[in-house]
Amino acid sequence: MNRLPYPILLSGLALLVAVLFVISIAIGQVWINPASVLLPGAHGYGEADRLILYEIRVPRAVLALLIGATLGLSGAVLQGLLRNPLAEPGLLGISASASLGAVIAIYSGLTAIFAYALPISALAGALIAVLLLRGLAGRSADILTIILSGVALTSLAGALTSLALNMSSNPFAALEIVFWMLGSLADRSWVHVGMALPFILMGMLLLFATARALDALSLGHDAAQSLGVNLQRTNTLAILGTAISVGAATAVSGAIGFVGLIVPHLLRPCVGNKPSRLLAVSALGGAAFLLLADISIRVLLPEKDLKLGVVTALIGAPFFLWLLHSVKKRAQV
Amino acid sequence: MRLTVSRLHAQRSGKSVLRDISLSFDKPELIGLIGPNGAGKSTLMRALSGLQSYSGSIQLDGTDLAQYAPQALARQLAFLPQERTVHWALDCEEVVMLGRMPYQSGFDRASVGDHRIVERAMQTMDVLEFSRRSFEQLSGGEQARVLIARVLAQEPDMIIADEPINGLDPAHQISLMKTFRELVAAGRTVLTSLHDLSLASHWCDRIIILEHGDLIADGAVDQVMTPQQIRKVYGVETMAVSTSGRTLIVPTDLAE
Amino acid sequence: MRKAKASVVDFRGVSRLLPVLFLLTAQAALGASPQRVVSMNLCTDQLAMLVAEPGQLISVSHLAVDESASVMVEEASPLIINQGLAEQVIRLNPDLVIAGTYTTRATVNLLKRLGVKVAEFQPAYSFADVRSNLKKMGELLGRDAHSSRLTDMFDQQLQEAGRTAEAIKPVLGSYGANSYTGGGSSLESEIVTAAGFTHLGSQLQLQGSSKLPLESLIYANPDLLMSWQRWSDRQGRAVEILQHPALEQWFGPLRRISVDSRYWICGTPYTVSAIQQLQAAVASKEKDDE
Repeated sequence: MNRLPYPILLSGLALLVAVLFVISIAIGQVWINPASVLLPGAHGYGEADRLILYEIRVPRAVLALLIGATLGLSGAVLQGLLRNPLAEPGLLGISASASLGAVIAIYSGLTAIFAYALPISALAGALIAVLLLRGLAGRSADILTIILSGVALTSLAGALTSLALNMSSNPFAALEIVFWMLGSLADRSWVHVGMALPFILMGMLLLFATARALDALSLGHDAAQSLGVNLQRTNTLAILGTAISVGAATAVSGAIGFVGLIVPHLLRPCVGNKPSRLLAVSALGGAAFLLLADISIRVLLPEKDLKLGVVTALIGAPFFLWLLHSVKKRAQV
Repeated sequence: MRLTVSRLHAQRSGKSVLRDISLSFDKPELIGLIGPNGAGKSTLMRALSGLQSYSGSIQLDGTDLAQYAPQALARQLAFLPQERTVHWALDCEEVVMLGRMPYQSGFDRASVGDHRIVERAMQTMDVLEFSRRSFEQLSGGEQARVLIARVLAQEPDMIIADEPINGLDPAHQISLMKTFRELVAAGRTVLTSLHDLSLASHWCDRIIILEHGDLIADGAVDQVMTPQQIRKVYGVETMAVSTSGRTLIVPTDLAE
Repeated sequence: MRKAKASVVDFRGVSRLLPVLFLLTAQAALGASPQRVVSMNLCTDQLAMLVAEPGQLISVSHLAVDESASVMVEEASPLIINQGLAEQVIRLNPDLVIAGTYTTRATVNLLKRLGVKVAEFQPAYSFADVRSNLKKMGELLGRDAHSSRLTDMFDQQLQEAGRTAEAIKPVLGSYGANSYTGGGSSLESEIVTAAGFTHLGSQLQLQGSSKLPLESLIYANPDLLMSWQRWSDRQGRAVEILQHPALEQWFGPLRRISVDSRYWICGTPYTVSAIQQLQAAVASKEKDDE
């Protein structure tokens, strides 16, 4: 098998992310050439273009990049940790629980007192979900138990989110359930970037620290431990890292599913299936994937305010079914 | 290297599985751990590898096992679990390279030395040709050899293997036992659990028999594997066959 | 034994008669004006409160007492409050139920099936609709004279408000929760135009209330941006858009005005106040500018 050398793969993906980032800020209601707006003495572009580029499109693209990277990376880590290609924050109910946390923070008025209450409450929601999953699914749980626990958690969190929104005095709150369940990056601002960035970076750092342990875990629990891996520490890093980064991401974008499922799976063969090498490429791949999805909703249906989660689910759900089928087949052999 | 076990007790899910075990390993030899299903063989080996909580004491070179940093312990003791799955379709070289983990730290990349040791380990196990092949594509016997190469790459003084010949065909079983002998000849101690009494009697230097969590016997093959002892522990009749200067114990029928 | 049996038969006889009795009273009511009127919609609530004679209207919807939606909270508070559910309305034993055409179809159909007289009102999209709704309400309640007096007053005030309109008509757009702006052929466009402005949604040829992405709003660049008081200052993701830094930088405080949404929801004679308030709000910004 001819495989791209790892450094080339990494730089290729980084280049792809950069290109998509530029396209993302160029595209919108009107095509803006970012270079000619940013360069001094540019002609043909007005104050409005500059404002739209700096204040609307760039923060949107930055969020797509950060959140995509978070989802890709946490998917790769969860899959390595649970040794299960179907693990992903969206499917496991972690994103939905983070949404619930965010909604509670907003409508209880906490965010009015303290702005960071939003990401903190969302990551608390995510943390509860991960801990519940570990408790429900146990250490040696099979695929089915984990996925079904995730389904149950997602519906429960969705119902509670809906309940919280219904109980709000704001007449528009009930309409927001779509945003929290399907996610969107439309008209987010630097305020949101500032709110999510520190948590996302912190969470990603914790997730990257699990890399070597994940390699060892591919030999199983006992062998990993006998190789000197501290599994307690690995678990803690993965759980906290996922909760912090996915929680903060969901707080500003709503729950976006399937990125963490698709991206690591597509990239796994490119790194020879090695879990540690999958982390960085999944983060880059997730960023590229979400930028692409966010570009596509603006190109395909510019007037319709299509939700980001709709696109990722349209691609992700059939993919998930196919994957489920092939995993089951392999398990039977 | 000297591993001493004294007055070891262990429990699994509230049930006592090992009682008052005292043992010592201090020289290169191939030790067969035998006993019927549920005798506590796996628990004993997991305890010796630092994977199982216990009461009593296990000391490695005079220091309590629990005092060792996990990586330091992994440089002296290697554990080969019964489960032969590798969860992702890694290349065989990558699988063997995992054995070098106790010598690396943080984001270290594999050094030239690591690569040399991995190559030697794969050569020893005759799997060098599979370096770039995916572990998934190999036969059961080949997979077993790659996993042992992983253990060798760990360069331990002692290898603890849980039923390594399980599911292998006779040729692979014998070649594995020969490999263990070579490792012993090269100065390592190998403790392996076995169900096959004839292989145990033919290849091992020393036999430990467990039954219901108790240590029944520990000693040289001809002292320990007597027909009376086997009948008592396993409930089978045996006959002894002599071949090329060694004695083979072969089960023949259920005991009366 | 025999006695007890007889009483059971008696009871059955009465219950068989009940629907007939009900029909009779309903028929009797047809000629005269209704005396137990229930309204189930915020806009019909307010129209009915204006037109009905005291005691004629017995119940209005819960929105009629909602400070953020109704301009007639005080008038509504002594009345029975309904949540727009059939069961509740039936218990009030109404001889006329007034609903909006957008009131839950299921509820309206159920009420009709149960033999209740239901009158449905289209929402007002123009001043002409306000007039015709007033007339319809007057006829239904037997208060024609009163309703035409209200219509005359409305027309007169409308004319006075229109007189202040100037020759240059700045463009004014609304921007609300979830990035919605009002479209053309709406009450909003009628009010904005009557107040002497060009309505953004009409200019952009939007149909009905539409989502306008922030980028498009900035490109459309209306002279004035109007948002809704009372709703905008609530917590929530929906109204976050109104605090977007791009919005604040582009329009600044002088081009942003805030109006009382209660006067914009329903087409009633109060709609004139919406025009007057809008003119006053813009005038005060102009004064700030000087």
